[in-house]
Amino acid sequence: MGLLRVLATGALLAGVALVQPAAAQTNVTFWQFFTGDTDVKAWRDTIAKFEAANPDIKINMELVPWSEQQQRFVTALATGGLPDISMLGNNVVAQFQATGSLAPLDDYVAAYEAESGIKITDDMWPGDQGYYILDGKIWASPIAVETRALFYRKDLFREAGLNPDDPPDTWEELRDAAKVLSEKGAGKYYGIAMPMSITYNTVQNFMSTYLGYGARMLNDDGSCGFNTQEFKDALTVYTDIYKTGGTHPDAPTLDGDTLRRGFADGNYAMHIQNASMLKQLQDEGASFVDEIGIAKIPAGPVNRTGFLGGWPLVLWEASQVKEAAAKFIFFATHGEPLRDMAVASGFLPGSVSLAKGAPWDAYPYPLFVEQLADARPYQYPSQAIAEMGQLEVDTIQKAVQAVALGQQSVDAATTQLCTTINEVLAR
Amino acid sequence: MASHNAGSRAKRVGAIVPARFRKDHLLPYAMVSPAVAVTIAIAVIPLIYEVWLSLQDWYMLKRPQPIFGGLINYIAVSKDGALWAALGRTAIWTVGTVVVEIALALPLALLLNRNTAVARAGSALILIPWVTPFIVLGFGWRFLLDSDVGPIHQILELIGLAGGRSVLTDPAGALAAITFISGWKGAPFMVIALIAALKSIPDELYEAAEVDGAGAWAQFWHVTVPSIWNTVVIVGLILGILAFYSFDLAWIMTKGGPQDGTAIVGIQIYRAVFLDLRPAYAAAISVVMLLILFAASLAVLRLRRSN
Repeated sequence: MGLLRVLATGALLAGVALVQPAAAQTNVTFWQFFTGDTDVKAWRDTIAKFEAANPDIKINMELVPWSEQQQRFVTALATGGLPDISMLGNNVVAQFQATGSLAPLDDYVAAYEAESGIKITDDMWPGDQGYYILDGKIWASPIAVETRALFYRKDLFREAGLNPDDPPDTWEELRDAAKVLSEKGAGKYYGIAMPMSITYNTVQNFMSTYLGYGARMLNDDGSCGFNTQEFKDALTVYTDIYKTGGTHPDAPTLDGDTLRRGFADGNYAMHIQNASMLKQLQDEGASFVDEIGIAKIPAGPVNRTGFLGGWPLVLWEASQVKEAAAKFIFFATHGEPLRDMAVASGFLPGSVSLAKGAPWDAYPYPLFVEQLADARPYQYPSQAIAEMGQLEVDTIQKAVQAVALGQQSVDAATTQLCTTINEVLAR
Repeated sequence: MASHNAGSRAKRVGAIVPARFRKDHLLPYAMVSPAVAVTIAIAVIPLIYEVWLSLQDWYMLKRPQPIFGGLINYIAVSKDGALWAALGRTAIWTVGTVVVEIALALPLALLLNRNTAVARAGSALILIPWVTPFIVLGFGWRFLLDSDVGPIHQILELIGLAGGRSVLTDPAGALAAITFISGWKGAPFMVIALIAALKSIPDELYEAAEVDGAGAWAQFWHVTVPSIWNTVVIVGLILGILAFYSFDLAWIMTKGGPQDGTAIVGIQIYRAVFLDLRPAYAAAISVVMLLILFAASLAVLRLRRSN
């Protein structure tokens, strides 16, 4: 009996020894925000390639949905449990950098540049540099970028007597076209799916309007810079789209996904959206997909500025395996691995050199790639501020919503907006 | 021999150990100790932590680590006009929710308080809103209130309560709408409690009232209502507490808008922690809420006793 026990224990230990790796692995925890099958597979493929090239490093990917990531990060900041690396919204990199919880990438950048011959900052979009280079240091490496253009239905333009080959080029033209299209649609469809509610999409669209009119969010002294005629003109023209009936009567309460769905369902003649909109229409077999035209975001009297979305990978200061983690960051955000992942998931790569090559040199991408050169952060031309994560959520949107619904005048809404922004900045 | 030794040892111990520490006296304490430990772990320790946190100065953007700040957060709470406005809306929301729950539940409970297959099936089906997640209800109601296709919107428009756009675009209309939805969701719980209370009323009371010449209305008012009053108050208090701490429905349906019209305190706490990165300030709001709720609960219970 005793001999049997000894033999069994020996066999068990031998089994355990067999499944142990030959050498100790470095485990890297990675929070990834996309939960769709295609995205998850693309990331798994990238991780597999990385692990094959670096057998001593194991990447443990955890799915943290976009809708929950802010809560997870803040909770982890307060109680512990941050990952080694993660995705992050481009606009909140400055926020977490200010909390001291991100690690600068400069040392690893230098090593990567020496090894690969790629100059990292040269390969970043100008707008991204504004988001990721803070206090002279690099805090994030971009994976994806997005900017939004005007999608419009040529068939509905013709039906309304508008020239389908001459889409709206300014915000005034957009407002007027939306009105005409809504009138022609007579409740069957509306001119444009335009967000006016307390949703990110509202500020993501409206920032193109106020920057196009020459308004800026922050003065040189760092205080609110919106209390200007330029901003008021921008707010007026944007909300006039609602007031003149150019969009859905419930637009001040509709979220971005609902509007996007509405355009895909044929309920709107125009929509401002990123390049994936066309792929969605094609995948869904929309009957009007061949009638879709795409034009650059409308211009204001001063310039044409696109929204700059995007998400990078960041390295968290609490990580005990920074070197291995940084290795994965640069592997996933450059070269062939990034291109494969971007193609599979359908996003524009955050690497300029990649985005200017195939397959993004074919319709509809060149228009978006061209617009990216003029895509800016909300606070342009000021530096990124730590408070943007707070301001982006509902401050500017409240002004838009209040004016659209007639609950505040443009002047009153602007004054209140600046009061709120200054209060947040003064905390 | 062994048992004799054990017996004499027990006697010796009994002589030395005071009666209150003997095994038979300690047993009840041992029996309740797991429950006490759980209560301490999930209620007392978090509460102590919350109070401690509320006394810290901790704005993550400017001060990554908390330091003792005394009453700094309570002073900020006292000066936060938006928060007090949110507390006012929360009071309306809480009372409104309970009123809607009682108004919907009482007739339904009276209707279902009979021993038929239809009533039994109805009692089960009526639980659907209660068990449906907020996220589903929120999107469902947004559809129902949509000015294009929402059937509820069409009815509201017909009776003049809504114009060409959804009631959710109006601050007062939105608060009224989500308060009603909150009450509608909580009503099934009240229905079930009331059915149980109704079933416990002895038939003799109704027979006696009938002999005394009481009609249906008098029987309801003088027999039914006093018999179920305690249940209404206690269940109303529980549902009121749940409503007071609500966040989900208002956030899903309106994000606190339009113009903060539906920004209740739960939303303010969420904003303070997750958007503004001010956990200590959020803790102070929570402590203030707790005190308000404690005082309100005491008042309600005292009212029940006085009745």
